[in-house]
Amino acid sequence: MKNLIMSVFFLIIVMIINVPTFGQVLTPNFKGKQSIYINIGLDPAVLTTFGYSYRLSSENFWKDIILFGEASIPVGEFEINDYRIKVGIQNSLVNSDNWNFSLAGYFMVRGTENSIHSATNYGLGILALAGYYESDWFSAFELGYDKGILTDIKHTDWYRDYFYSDVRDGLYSNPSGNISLGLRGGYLISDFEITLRAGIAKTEMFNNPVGVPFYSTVCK
Amino acid sequence: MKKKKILSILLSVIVLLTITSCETIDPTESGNLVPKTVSEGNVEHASHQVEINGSKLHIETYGNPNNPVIVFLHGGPGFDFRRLLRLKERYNSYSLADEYYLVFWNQRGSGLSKRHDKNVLTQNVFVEDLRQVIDRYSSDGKAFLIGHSWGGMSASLFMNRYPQKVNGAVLIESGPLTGKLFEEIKGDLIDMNLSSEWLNDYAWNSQFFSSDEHERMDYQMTLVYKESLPKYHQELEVDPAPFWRLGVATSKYIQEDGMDSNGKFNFDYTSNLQSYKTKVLFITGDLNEVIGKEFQGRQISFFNNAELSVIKNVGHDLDWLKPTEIIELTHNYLNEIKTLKVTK
Repeated sequence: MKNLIMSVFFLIIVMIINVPTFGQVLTPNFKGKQSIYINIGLDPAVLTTFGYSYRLSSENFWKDIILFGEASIPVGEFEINDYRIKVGIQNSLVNSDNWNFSLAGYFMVRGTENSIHSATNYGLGILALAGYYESDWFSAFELGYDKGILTDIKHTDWYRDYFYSDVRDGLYSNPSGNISLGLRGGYLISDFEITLRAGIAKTEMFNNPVGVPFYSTVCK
Repeated sequence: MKKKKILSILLSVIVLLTITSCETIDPTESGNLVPKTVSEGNVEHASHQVEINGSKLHIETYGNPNNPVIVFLHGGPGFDFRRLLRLKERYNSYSLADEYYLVFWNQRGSGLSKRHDKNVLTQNVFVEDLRQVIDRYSSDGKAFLIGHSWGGMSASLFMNRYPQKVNGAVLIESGPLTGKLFEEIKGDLIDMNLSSEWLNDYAWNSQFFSSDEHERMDYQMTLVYKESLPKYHQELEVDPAPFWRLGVATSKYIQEDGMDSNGKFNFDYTSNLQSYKTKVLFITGDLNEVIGKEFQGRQISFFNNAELSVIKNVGHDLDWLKPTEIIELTHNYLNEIKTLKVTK
């Protein structure tokens, strides 16, 4: 309950500071060919995402393929060493009347630098989105799986000197996996769309992740 | 066409060889991210493994076993005694080990002691562990207790149950001795500002390591240590109080054991403390804004006979940064108790 209250509270805050831009990837009712978007929210840290998507024109089965790329940075510190870059592809697999089921797959690189290490993580992700779409609004369920394949780590002197001198630097395999389950809803005004997302996050073994076990973002 | 095919096969082989030639490390294997426990084959501390109450504990002793015993209780729950080790050293030509048998004990699930799951990480099991530690090292089944932070709380918990087994106690900036007091201060403990660096580092790091077993959880908890408790005013850049590892499971489950079903602390370690007649020494730093001088001033009233000493210019890591002062205060206190016993 406390998490839910915090999530709602945070959504209100980020709505106030939201920056206007165009459209959003993964919401099929936006029919433009290109879009740029900004996300602000908690996913998993407080972050800002800048994204671009491009809809491929095709008349065959793969008629609604969207390519996208986005870069995120945590806003708590504005350090260039903390980042996440995703590039991926999305397709509407089922599109019947007002119902749509879309699937997105992406590759990502993430970096961080903190008191105990600097690290780069390489991973893959998949996100399914099933929802009801009207011409100017939509609501949908989303289910995501974010898999870290490798984390390349170099530990800081602070950690080595004061805590564990034999800690191993190098490539850690299969270091992370996180699942997200949530809701999103959006409203389209002309070429602008506002989307709200919120949900719970779990590790791939269904434990609570470190930090906060929920996410929420606002996109415009 | 044929050339293209050969080239693509060659490329695939090169990529495959590159990937497989990289040596990868298993984050779940003990010893890679945090030290191995004594039960996992920690070679350096193998001789300090002691089997007590069904667990394998890391215990170090200093001094003459025939002297009165002092058991040191570390903070947390989930920290370890590494930061208390300066209290065994010699300062101003005196060491507590000259007159006492010093027993440094990593509680189960903490430091280099064996990891455990929830079912045996309870306050009752903790009390029984301590009872057995005292019985193992003390010929008369009694000991002095010196506890820091959670160690002060756990010393009080033990004294509340077994006052007859405690010769005296030094509580160094003890945590709250009742759930009611804990509820009063818990909002001031951790900096939960959503833009704070430590919170973002901690949350962001969940993408790099998942908290799916002890090793990865304990490792990532280190991120919390540096900046999450600003009102404790600890020295964290140069000469921070060290630990072997932070036992996340221990911290979580021992704390939960002191809560009601709504997650509110409801423990009470004070119900029988008034029956403990021997003087108890409280020590605190003057910088801690949460559980410092004023807070400890309230806590001494739980005891029938207690005194508070304040060390200047230090926060919650006084156990690490001010060993000379703590040893001097402790030495004087223990002499006072000895004198009183002789007089009686």
